[in-house]
Amino acid sequence: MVKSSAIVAAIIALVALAVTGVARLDSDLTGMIPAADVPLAREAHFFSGMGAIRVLMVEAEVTSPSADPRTTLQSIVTRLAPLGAHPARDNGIEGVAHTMQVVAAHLPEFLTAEDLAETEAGMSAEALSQRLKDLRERLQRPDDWLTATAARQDVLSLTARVLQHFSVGPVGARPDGAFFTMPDGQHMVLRLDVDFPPDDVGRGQPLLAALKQEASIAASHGVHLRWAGSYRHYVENADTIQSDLMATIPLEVLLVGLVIWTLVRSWRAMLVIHLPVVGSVVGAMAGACVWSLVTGRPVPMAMIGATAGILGIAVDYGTHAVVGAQEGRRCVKQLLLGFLTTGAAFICLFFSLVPALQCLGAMVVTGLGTALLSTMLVPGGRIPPPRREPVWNRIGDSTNRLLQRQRRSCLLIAAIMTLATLPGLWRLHFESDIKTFDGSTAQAWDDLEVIIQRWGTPDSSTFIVAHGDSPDAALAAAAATRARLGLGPGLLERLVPDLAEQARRREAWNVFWTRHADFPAKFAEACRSNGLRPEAFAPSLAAYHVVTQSRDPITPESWTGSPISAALTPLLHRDGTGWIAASPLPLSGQAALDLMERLPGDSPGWIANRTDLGKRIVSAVQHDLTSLIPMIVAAVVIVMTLAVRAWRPAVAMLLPPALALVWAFGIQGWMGLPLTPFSLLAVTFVLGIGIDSAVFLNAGSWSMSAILVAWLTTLLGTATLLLANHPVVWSLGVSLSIGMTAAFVAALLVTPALSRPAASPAPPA
Amino acid sequence: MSPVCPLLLLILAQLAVAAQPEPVTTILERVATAAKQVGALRVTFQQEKHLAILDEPLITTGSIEIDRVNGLLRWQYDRGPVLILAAGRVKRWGADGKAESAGDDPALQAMAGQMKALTSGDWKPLQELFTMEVGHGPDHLLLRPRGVGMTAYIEYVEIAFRTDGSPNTLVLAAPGGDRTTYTFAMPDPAWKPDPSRFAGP
Repeated sequence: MVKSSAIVAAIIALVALAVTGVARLDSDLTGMIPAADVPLAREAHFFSGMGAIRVLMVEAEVTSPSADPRTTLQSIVTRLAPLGAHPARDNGIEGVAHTMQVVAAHLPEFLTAEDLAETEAGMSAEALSQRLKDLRERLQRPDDWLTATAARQDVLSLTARVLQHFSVGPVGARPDGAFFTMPDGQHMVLRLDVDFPPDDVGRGQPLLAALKQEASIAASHGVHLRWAGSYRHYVENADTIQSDLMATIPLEVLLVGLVIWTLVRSWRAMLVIHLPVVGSVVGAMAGACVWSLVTGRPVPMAMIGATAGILGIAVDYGTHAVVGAQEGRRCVKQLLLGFLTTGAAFICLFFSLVPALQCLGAMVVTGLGTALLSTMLVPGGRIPPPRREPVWNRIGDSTNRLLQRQRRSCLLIAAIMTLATLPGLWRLHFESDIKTFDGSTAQAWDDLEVIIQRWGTPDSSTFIVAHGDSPDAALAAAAATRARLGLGPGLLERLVPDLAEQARRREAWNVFWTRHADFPAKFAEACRSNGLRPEAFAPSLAAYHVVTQSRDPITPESWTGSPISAALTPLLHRDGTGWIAASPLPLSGQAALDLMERLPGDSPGWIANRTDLGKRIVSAVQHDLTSLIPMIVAAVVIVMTLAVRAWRPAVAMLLPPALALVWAFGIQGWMGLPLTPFSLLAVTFVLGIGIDSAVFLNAGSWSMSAILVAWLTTLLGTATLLLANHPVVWSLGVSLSIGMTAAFVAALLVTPALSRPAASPAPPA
Repeated sequence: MSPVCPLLLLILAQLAVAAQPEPVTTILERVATAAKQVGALRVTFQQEKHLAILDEPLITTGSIEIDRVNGLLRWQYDRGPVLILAAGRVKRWGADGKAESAGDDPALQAMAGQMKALTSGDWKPLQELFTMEVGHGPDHLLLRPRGVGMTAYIEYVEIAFRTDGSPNTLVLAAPGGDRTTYTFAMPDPAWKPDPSRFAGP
């Protein structure tokens, strides 16, 4: 009673830790980065600071001559605004005017030498006269309200010359309000900025649902809609997983429940079997929490998926404990041995350089430990044996007899299977295309490809990144890196040139206006010849003159209050004690990777690329897991040897999971299924459950029915995943189903054949 | 205290209330209510532009046709361009009848807000860009740009309404002395809209 109370108290304490663990969940990618991989960690940290790309591109394609794509897109703007998506260029007249004012106030610093050279061409008396003649003609347009006012302030249109560099949009497309139109007139695109991040699926789903409805309406009006952006992939992945769960979980629960019922035939027993299941979930989250508190890192969200594997092992613990209790036996020794070997394997993950894998190790060890503790709560004498002998007992007895009679044949079959599957190992390869892990529809990828080809990438996913003690130092380093690559100034360098560059431009400006000191006189003459009042242009003439070097430079603060400010913030932001400048590059895919190759090693900046980051993370995790496998094998062997202290039973219990690994990977190799981080993780669970089967088979024939049911329930659980549409869930189902079957068959063929017949464990006193 | 004093105070108080300008909301509501009474109208106008860089004013005449039911407006200059507001967007045709892209002309889109207000009779949405106060007369609405950007190009817009809610004059003033004044004739409420008038010239 005291022992049970202590276990209950321990589990309650774990519940508190588990709740804390849930609160520390985080989807931050840096949890997947090996600590020793400094460049990769730096890149992940950079993109984490930049945040997700909050852009959704919607393209309207005309499919009928009478269609009006603008009306369709306008309708989408209205429909999506309450859902948090707004046109990116919808800064309004105030936004444009404010931007013009900032530029007008810093013309000497914004205009490059090239800009001034182009301006020079229009400085002759004839050119000035022609310019004013055109202006006068323009003023005759009755619906022109602002040209005269704007011309008085900047008659040479120097502000417009600077602003043309700020306009960002698809190459060759014409801006049209919030939209862009292709010259063919058949395609328009709307770029939407979204208020929330793409992983906020709860808000993304209604957004995408509204787009789908608009697409149906548009189709009836002769307009075909396509849309692309992270939001679509997040929502479609979530939808696929949700529908997969809806399709598999009820079936899994029904089948597993039926199989267990045929074994225990008691509601009480059914409930008790689930004690370790609940315990394992609580323990796993508590373990994650402790790991998080010790390391100071958040709990990686992706690791929550590992609880499914822990649950599978915990159900086995419960089945063995309850069947043992029904037969009046305790099987703590076997459960403890199974836990120690599985735990030893996962403890090795503590040595992983990937924080998420360390967390997984902690989750499995504490999860299974708590499941083991929970089995001790199983009330031995209070679970009555089934009134009718379960069919599994008869099957178990027959199987036992067969295995005992055919020991040599069993070993021979195991050898043949090993030889048959061994060549499959050489056909194994790692999955390099991370797109295959995505559960989006094929339509989503097709639409993305069409939109990228026609309009370019939705947003820059490649940056030149530079660090500095101050914003200016970071900006200068980014500009220098661009220069090393032979690239001209990008959007960031045009918005906030570094101070040295501004000084150079002021110098060029002063040289220019010193050379054109006669401009006011020439201009006045040109005005008079065109019937314009020269004195009305006083604001222009006041701006066009030599300036001092001590005037206020352009800084990020110069843009405060303008629409540029929001776009600038992620490109130049504080990071700890320093600053990061992120200069966007209009490159993606192979072109970005090629540029990364070209970057000289001594460049002050480096290149960050989202696609490359994803690939490198997957590769790093795979490499880390692969390097840990020898340690895991050694740990399991040592624990088993120390626990049983006899070579024969140790081999009888260790050989089946080893063979299971060869068979499972060999079969996957023959089937052409690539290895993924998910299939490698599945293997570790196969090892855990495979050893449990071998341990119980080594204990004797008394537990055969529980072993059969434990394997069948696990197989049913994993096999239902084969109904899933999501590639990751499906591949997990394949890996686990093959692995579980291989582990079970290997244990059946090898363990009884190698171990001496053992006496049944004595019922408890 | 003499009984005359409270009476005098009451009269003075009433006079003070009567002397206060009509609140902006009252003007806006009255204009909106009056607009609801008329589904379509046509009004002629004269536009007079006084620009600081020109000695002479630029005077043009034209007409505005409004189909409030369908949210359509046609703004036509005599022997000049045609602007049509439909589905919230302004399209422009030159004097030669050739369609021009008006989508990216910020000046034209700035006027789109006032055109929409004319069409619907609802001037409240302009409060997003302008502060509103009572102007130089009881039925005058004075709009000043809210943002610092627009103040470089628009000093104020003043609209004088008639008692029936229709605009009488509209003045667009820019810094430096540029001023455009519209004087509207009495609207013709009997005018019937022709859909083809809102499709193009």
